[in-house]
Formats: sequence, structure tokens, C-alpha cells
Amino acid sequence: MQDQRSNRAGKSFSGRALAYVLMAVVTALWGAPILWMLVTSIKPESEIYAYPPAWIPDAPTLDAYGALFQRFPMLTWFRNSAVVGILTTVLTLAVDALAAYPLARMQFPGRRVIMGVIFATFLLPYELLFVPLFLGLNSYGLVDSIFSLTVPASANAFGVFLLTQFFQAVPRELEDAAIMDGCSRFGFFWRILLPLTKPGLATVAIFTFVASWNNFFWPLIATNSDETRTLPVGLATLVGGAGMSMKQSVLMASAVVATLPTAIFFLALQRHFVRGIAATGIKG
Amino acid sequence: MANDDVLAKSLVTRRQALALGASAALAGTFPRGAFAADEKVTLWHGWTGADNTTALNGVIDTFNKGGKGVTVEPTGYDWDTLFSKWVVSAAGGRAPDLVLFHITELPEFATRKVIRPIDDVVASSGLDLSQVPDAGRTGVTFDGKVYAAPLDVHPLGFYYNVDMVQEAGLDPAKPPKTGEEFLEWAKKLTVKDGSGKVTRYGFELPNTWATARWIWFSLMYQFGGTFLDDKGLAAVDSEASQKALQYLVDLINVHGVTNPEVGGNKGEDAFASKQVAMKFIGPWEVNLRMAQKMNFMTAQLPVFGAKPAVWANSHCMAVSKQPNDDKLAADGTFMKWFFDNFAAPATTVGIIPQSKAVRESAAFTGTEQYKYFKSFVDDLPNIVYEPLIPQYLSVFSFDKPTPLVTNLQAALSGSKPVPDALKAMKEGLDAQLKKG
Amino acid sequence: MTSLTSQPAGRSKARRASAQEGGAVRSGMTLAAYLFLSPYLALFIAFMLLPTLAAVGISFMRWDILGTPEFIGLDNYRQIFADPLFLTAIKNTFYFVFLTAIPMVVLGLALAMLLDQKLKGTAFVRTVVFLPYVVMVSTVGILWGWLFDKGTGLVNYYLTAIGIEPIAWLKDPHWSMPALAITTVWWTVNTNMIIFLAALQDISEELHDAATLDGAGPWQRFVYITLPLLRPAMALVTALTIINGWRVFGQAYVMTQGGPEASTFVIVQYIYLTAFQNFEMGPAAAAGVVLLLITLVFSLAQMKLMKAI
Repeated sequence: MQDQRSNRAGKSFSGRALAYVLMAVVTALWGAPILWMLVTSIKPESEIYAYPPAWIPDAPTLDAYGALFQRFPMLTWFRNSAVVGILTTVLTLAVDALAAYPLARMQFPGRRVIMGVIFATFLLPYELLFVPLFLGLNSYGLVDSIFSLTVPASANAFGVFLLTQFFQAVPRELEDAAIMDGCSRFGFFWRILLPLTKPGLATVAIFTFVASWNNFFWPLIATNSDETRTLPVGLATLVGGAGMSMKQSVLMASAVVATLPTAIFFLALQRHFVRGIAATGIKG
Repeated sequence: MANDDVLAKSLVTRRQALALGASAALAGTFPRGAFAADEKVTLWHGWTGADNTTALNGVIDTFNKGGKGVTVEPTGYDWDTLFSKWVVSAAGGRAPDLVLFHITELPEFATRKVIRPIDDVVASSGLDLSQVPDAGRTGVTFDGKVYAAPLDVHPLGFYYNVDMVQEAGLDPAKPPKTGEEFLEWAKKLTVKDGSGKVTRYGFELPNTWATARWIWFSLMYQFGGTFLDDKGLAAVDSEASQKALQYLVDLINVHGVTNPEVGGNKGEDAFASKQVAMKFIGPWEVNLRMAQKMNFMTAQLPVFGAKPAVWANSHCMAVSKQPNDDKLAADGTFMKWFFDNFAAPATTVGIIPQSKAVRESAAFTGTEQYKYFKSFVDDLPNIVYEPLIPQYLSVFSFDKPTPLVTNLQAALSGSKPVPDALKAMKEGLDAQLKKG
Repeated sequence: MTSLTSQPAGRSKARRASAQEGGAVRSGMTLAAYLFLSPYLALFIAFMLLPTLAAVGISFMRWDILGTPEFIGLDNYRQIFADPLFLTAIKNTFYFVFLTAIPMVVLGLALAMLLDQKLKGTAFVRTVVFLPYVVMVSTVGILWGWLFDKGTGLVNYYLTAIGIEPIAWLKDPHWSMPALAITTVWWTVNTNMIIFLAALQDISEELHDAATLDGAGPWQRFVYITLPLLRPAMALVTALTIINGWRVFGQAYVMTQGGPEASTFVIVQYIYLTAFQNFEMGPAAAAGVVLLLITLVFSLAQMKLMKAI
């Protein structure tokens, strides 16, 4: 393929041109479906099935969005998803960071076993756990609560694994110096380690928030009413069951609305994010 | 003394104020929209989709505000999820009070003891089942007891695009009534372009979801067959059943008037996008077609066989088995009210009320939609239900690779010849039916 | 994956020296370690370990969720392996993994290499490629369900524009799985791209400069410098792709519901159906255990293979 560093002497014009063409193709392929989603959401129902398909609506309208917010408790679902998302992210970050510190930087018996077990949960099909988890939570009366939407999701392996990588990259000398200065382990963790690994924390935050926001099957089982539903579960009821044909414009409007928060969240944090993954040095 | 009186009064007033405050605080802890004395009833249903949910919620809102002392809290799920959640919640002792579902699922939920007989509720609430035709009452009866309130019927109907019909030189006021007439229409309505490629099919027979199965079911009974034999095993390989399926396959391969890859229900709307001219589907699409401003009309299902038969299903409302009978009276109050005031939700959702009184009331017949509903009403004497068996969900679920679905798809797509497909289907079905 | 089991960050001489005074320090460290770990372990045991053990237990029982469970030994496992639908699910899921494995890795790498360059607009393109990740599975399914529609979908529209006959993507059993694979790649190749991007950025300039000075061309540099240094990233990406492939469910459920003719019916859908439609908890749990074992075997095999290359 191409040169990796374009500041290398002698990068050819045709090489750059080819790169730009490829970038345009990629943008078209990846961006087109999203654009189609946006465009459909502002088309009046009569234009949806026009053929040939039109990229620019003749009579754009925000009716679909209006219908969406008028007929469905969108704000309630939004609120629930936001609360659950934020709580889950905070809890996950806290718990995972605390756990990653010893796994990354301490020697203790059982370390290997714990790492292995955590890795094994990567392989776990979560659908296997739904029924025992539901019945267990139910016996404590915790179904239909914020607790069951946030806490079970926080024990996820991905965050621990990723943060372990980040924490390992911080030099030993810093820790030794801090400890010799009388800093407690927690002090080092809180005042030195965490600030140094912000990109890693940002990365875990993004992935956790997105996963929580988009989580469908567990909230479906764990919530019983519109008051406690999250957005994906609520939006699923837009699709008329039993073959009642759906209004594409409303569906796509709901898709746009549902995607907006996570898209914004990602765009805001993405600088940290890519720098973050780079800093893990996912190498040998 | 005046001052003492004032003091006494103000003390009383303060105590009253405290009482008011306390009850206001208590009222605040009750569910939204409820009076402190209102009984709360949870209702789960499968009427999802923007219009249906709005219709149902609107009706329930009217009830809640009507001072009956009962507040109903509805939650909608898509049907598959509804049934899963219902059973899982029942296992956890948190079943919803009332559920709106289909009579075809009733035997399964009665057998699993998720619902309870409601003869007592019917009697005490004054629900009048005499208005419901025999088939409707049989549908909600299991083991000799009434288990649910029958609400509506939704049979298959015949939708056709009036513009396309006129273009083809046919008379939209005289829709086909027999198989031969239907075939003639289908052929004339199938349009090809210069190179011989079909640009529009006369008829929609999609290979996904349930439409094809319902049509085959209707034809099977029209040709004199039944789905189950008298031993309760599958009779899908009978002559009548094969004839029915072969007829549909011939529509695809011999007459070229339809294509199983066209249409369906997940976002492709072949009728609206003008890829087909005719379709058989239930009354629930009437409102959608009106909203899409299509020039369409409905008619009774043509009779392809010896006698008319039209697939139908019905919604009903049942009471979950609960540890005690506290909510029973409240359940009954809502059930009766809903049954009597069914015209409005029926019209918006697109279903035909079971109760003769409701069906013939001005509230139902005076609507814009009624001219489209009329042909469905006319077909009510001809309806056939799928077998009401306890294994209903595993046998008849659609959009899952059950023996019924995969073999029907194989026959329509041509992967298997009709006799082989039906034989394989029978084997698979019998295995499921024997599980009991 | 080697970083997973490597020693904690750097062993300085000071540490080794103080290891002599070891005893007290080490047990103090052990206590500290477990204190830090305790919140995670508590949640893990309560919400992952215990339910998993419960599920494994259920796999040996007959239970319809409403009644009482009864122990029946290996009968559930015998039942699912005798069920042609389960075997079809395994076959289909394997096909899906096979279809997605190479594109996800190769395309991920290709995109990373394309966007690693210091050209204007790479950040923008990177964002566009990553955006699908934040879209929920149900939206992806509905959107691509429509894009793949034979008559009105964009995919066929553009295919016919270049002279290809429209394909009944989601209605033809031969094309349904490829359609799912395409959708999945669009949706998630971005995470692979990010991992490769990070790895690429770690490859030092000097290595490439030195090689160029020695006369190595771009292709040789790629094969002899880039690829070997990318091996850990490659291993990680392949592992993730395979694991996620075996666990695919959402897109298949929303787009094709396992059809047509069971061509996209995957293992997790089997579990879901058996548990939540037929209410047969035992066989569902057994299928879950089988899936866990399959994923384990494949991951281990893949890691061994990549270490050997």
C-alpha cells in the first residue's frame, strides 16, 4: 500500500491523489447510509417510496419529528437513557479503574487467575445470563429500577482490560517516588495515575456510554413501563407489530434522534480517544 | 372571646391544613393521574406502532378521567416480547393485571396457568357476551370456562389499487369473486417493460412474515381441507392443502403474476411503492393506506375453492393469575367499559368489533373508514381461526425458522417441490404437536 | 494479548532490593490489591459469575420458568444436538464468522493505513467511518433492511446503475448472510481501524527511514517492517472479530429474523427462541454453554496460530 508518513521525502503526487480518491470513496460508502437516514426523516410520507430514490426531498418537512415527540414519551425515554448512561459510565469507570490499578501495577497471589477469568467473560454470551439475572433481581424487588439497569452492566471486562493497558504504561519511578514521599497507594492512584491516563479514561467512558445508550435486550427484560424504559426499548414500539406497516419517516426520525446524543458525545471526546488508543501502545 | 375563637379556629384550620398536607403528600406517592382512592390496573398490549398506541392511550385516558375509580396504566410491546415478558414476569410474581392478546394464544397461556378463568368477573361486571357470535365465544373458552373478553375480529381482506385497475381496463366496482376472475385480474394487472421484465406484479405474495401463510390457510379451508386432523396431528399434506399451496406456487411460476421476493412488512411497502396492484391483508392497513392517500378499495376475499373461507384472528383481554383477587373488581370495570366502547379504538387500529351492538353502532359505521371496513364485516360469517392449541407459539410464530415457516418459504421460493415441502412440514409439526 | 499476562510495569532495582524486606511489604501489597479489586469483584461475582453458574446449572435441568426445575443430567445437550435447527444455527454462525473475518481485518488495516497519512481530511474521514458505531442495532437493522430491499433499496439502485441485476438480498437464502456481513462490516469495522491506527502510530519513523535509505520500496517496508510489528494488533483484532462473530444476534434478528429459510438463523437466536418463545430454559442454557465452549476453542486456536506464524 501507500507510504505511511507523507512527510517522507519524495511522496508522489499520484500517490496523494489516489489517497484522496480512496478517501472520497470511503466517505461516500460509510456516510451514505447515515445521510439517507437524515434525508428520509425529513421527507413527507408520499415521497418515501418515490423511484428513482431522491437524495433531496421536494417538500422537506419536520412532521415526522413532530409526530414522534407528540405521540411518544420521547423525553421520558431520553431522560431514562441519559440517567442510566451517565450512572453506568461513572460507576464503570470507578470500579474498573480501581480494579485495573492492582492488576496493572501490583504483584499478588491470584493475579493471573483473576486476569484469566476476566478475559473469559469476554467470551460469555450475555443472553445466557438474562434469566438467572432477572429472577435474581426480581426476588429483591429490583426489577423496573435504575439499579438493575446500571449496576449489572458495570462489571464488564472491556474497561478493566483497557485501563490495565493504560496503567501499565505509567513509569514505575513515578510511583516509587510518590510512595517514598509518603503518598498512600490510593493517593498515587487518585492524584497521579488517573490524571496521567485521561485518554484511557475517556476511551472507556465513550465505549461504556455508547454501549449503555444502545443496550436493548437487557432493558427490554428489566423494565416494565414507559416510565422506566430506555430509548431503544421505547423506540422498538414504534415499529407496528403484527405487520402494521411502519412509517419510514418517523422511524428514521427516531433513529436520528436516538443517535444524536452518542454522536455528539463521541465527537466531543474523540480527540482524547484516538490519542488514547495510541498511547496504550498495543504492542508486544 | 373573639380572639380565643380566632385562635381555636386557626388551630383547627392548622390541623386541617396538616391533614390536607398529609393526604396531598400521600396522593403524590400514588401513580400519576390517580386519585388517592383509585385502584391501579396495569395493562400490557401488543398494539405498537404510532397510531395504535396513540389510539389505545387516548381511549384509556378517557376511561381514567371518567371517575370510575380505576386507573389503567398501559404498556405496549411487540407481540413476541409481550409473551416472553408476560411469562417471565409471572414467574417472578409480577404479572400485569390485564393483557390484550389474541385468542390463538389463549390455550397456551391457560395451560401454563398464566391466566385465570373469568366467569365470575364477567358476571359481576355485567359484560354482555350474548352480543358476540358463537365463534367469538368459543374462541375465548377453554376447558369449558371463559378466560377472556372477546374484543374484535380481523380477517383477511382484498385490497386493490383502483388507479391500476382502471388503467388495465377493468371495473373497480366489480372486484373478482372467484379464482378464475382473480387470475384474470392478476394477469391484466401484471405489467412488463419492453425487454419482458416485470415492472409491476398483479399480486403480492411475500415470502417473509405471515401473509403467505394466512392466504394458504384460507385456500386450504376453501378447498375443503383442515390444518389438523381429528387426532390433533398435522394434516398439511392432505390433497386440499397441497392443491392450495400448488395454486399459489403456480401464481409465481406458471402465471408469473407474483413474486415472493417482492413485498413483506419490514420497511418495504410494495403496495405503496406501486410494485403490486393487489394484496390480501387484514383491516389494519386501511388507515395507513388512507394516510398515504392511495386510491384503493377493499373487497371480500375471492373464493378459489368450493366454499368461502377467510383466515382471521381475534384480540381478547384476559386477567393474569395473581396471588390474590384484590384487583378483580377493577379489572372487570375496565374490561366491560372497553368492550362497550370499542368502536373508537377499533376504527383507529383497523379491526372489526366482535360485539354486534358495537359493530352496528353509529360510532363504528359512521366513520370515514367504514366504507373500507364493510367488506371485512361482510366476510365475518366465513372466518376460520388457526387451531387453538397449547403449542400455538412454537408452532405458529412467524419470522422464526419453525417447520411451518421454513417449509412454506422453501415451497414458494422453489427450493422444494410442494409435496416434499408439505411432507417435511408435517414431520416437523407433528414433532412439535406431540410435545404437548 | 501478551501484555495481558506480562509483568506489572517495570521492575526497578529499588523494588528488587526492597523485595528482601518482602514479607511485610508483599502481604501489605496483597491486601491493598484486593481492597482495590473488591468493588469490581463484588459486582463481578454477583452479576456475572453467579448467574453464569446458575445458567450452567439450569443446562442440566428441565424448567419452563413457571414450575420447579428438575435435574435431568445431559438430556438437554442430547436434545439440542439432535435438533436440526441447532445444527443449522451452528453452521450459519460459522459461515457468518467466515464471511466477516477477512474483510474485518483486511479492511480495518487498509482503512487505518489510508487514514494514517498526514493528509488534509483524514480526521474527517475517520469520523465518518466511526459514526456508524454509535448507531443502535435496531436502527442499523431497519436502515439496512430498507437499503437492501430488492425493488426500492439504494444498494440495488446503484448496482443497476452499473449494469448488475438487482439482487433479492434479504429474501434469497444465498444472499441473506452476505447482506448481513456487509451490514456488520459497515457498522463495526471502525473499531478494528482504530486499533490498527494506534498500532501504526507506534511504529517508529526511523525504522522506515532506515529501510528506505537501504533501498527498500513501500511494499517491502510493509511486509518486512509494518506487518511483523502489527502482529499483536492483528491478533487482537482477529480475536475480537471471531468472538463477536460467534455472538452475532441483533442485526440478524432485526433484518431477517433468521430467515429466509433459516439461512441467517444464528446460535444466539436459537438460545433466545428456546428460552423466550418455547420457555425451555434447560436446552437454552445448554446451547449457551456450547456457544461459550465454541468461542473459547476458536479464540485459543487463533491465539496459538498467530503465535506460531
